[in-house]
Amino acid sequence: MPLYQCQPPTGYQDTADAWVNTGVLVGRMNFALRLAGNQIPGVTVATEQSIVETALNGDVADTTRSTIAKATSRQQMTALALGAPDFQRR
Amino acid sequence: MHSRRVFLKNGAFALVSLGFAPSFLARTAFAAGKAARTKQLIAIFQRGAVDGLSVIVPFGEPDYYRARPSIAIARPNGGDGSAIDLDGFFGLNPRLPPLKPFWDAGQLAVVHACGSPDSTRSHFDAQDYMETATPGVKSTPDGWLSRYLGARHAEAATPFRAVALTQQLPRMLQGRASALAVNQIAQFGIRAGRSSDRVGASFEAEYAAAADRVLNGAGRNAFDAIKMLKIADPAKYQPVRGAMYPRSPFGQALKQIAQLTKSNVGLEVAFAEIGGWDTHVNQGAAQGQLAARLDDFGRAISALVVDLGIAWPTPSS
Repeated sequence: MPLYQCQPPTGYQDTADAWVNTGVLVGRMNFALRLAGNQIPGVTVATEQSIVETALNGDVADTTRSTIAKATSRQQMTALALGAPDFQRR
Repeated sequence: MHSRRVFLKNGAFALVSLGFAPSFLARTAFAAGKAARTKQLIAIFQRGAVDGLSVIVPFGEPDYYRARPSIAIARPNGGDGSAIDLDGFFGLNPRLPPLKPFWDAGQLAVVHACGSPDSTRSHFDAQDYMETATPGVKSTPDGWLSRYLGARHAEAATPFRAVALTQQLPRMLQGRASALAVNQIAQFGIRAGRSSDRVGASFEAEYAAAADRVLNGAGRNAFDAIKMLKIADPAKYQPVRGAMYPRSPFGQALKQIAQLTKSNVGLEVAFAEIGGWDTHVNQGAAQGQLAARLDDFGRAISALVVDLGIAWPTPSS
């Protein structure tokens, strides 16, 4: 769905299921990986240890926190935070 | 708006070009659903409104030639660029010979001169009406293919029950029934180089624990789909029986539909689209923009039918 260009006059849906589907979710996780890997042209992401605190404001599920903690690089850590379910919906 | 539908009869395989008759389609598919094996519906959308009179040419109608002095397709047997006779009155566009064998075998049906009854001149609205199947009503939230999926009982729905070979989920498939948009099935998955498997497993763990019902469900679906594709490996299914898909995006989309079908991932509804039909003054006749689109269209569909090796019943009449 393009931002600001909703075609139906009824406007954007305000239900959660209209904003997520299988393909989109995979796309978001891959976007998080590319973003954290500085593969998005013109964008540089400062990957840091405190990503959970800065991006997610510390408000994350235990599983997300422990999964991120197991990441083997800062880039992966950042990607696992930005692609996490906790970051998809605030 | 000129529009027209082409169906390959039998219900195992129905082709839809620009047109409006979902109830007819649903009946066909429902009737077919009684058979033992899972029936599959492949919907093809020709975006931009194809000119039906140049595709299925009414060469037996003198007014056709009077009304179209420059872009009419010549009567059959008039040399290069003349129509391919079907029934003595209608003929195929000369760029569609790949479809002729299906007509001869009684496997191809044409529903001519039917379309949306709404006379809007907005292409966007007209297209939306085709996809929602509610001409004149803009507020319909879902597409007809999605409603069809909702109405049809799924024995064991997989994440590949409904797949659009497109970048974005078409309006036709938007709605309550889950559907997947994948442009390149070979590239569907978590892409993190050599760490792909490990990172994928990490994401999977996060989503499996997600408290949000929608994210949890979509996440489970996503990882199920990725695993199924990895096991089924659709790319290993190369075209058989000499099927030659055009290298065009449309040809490649249909090839992937065949690969998904052969890899038994539970595909029930597939969607592909082909654009460039809004030809305006560049339409041409036996040559031109329309002819080039039809060439791609006919060859791709023919390749799909041959590749799938659909067992056609003998026509009863």
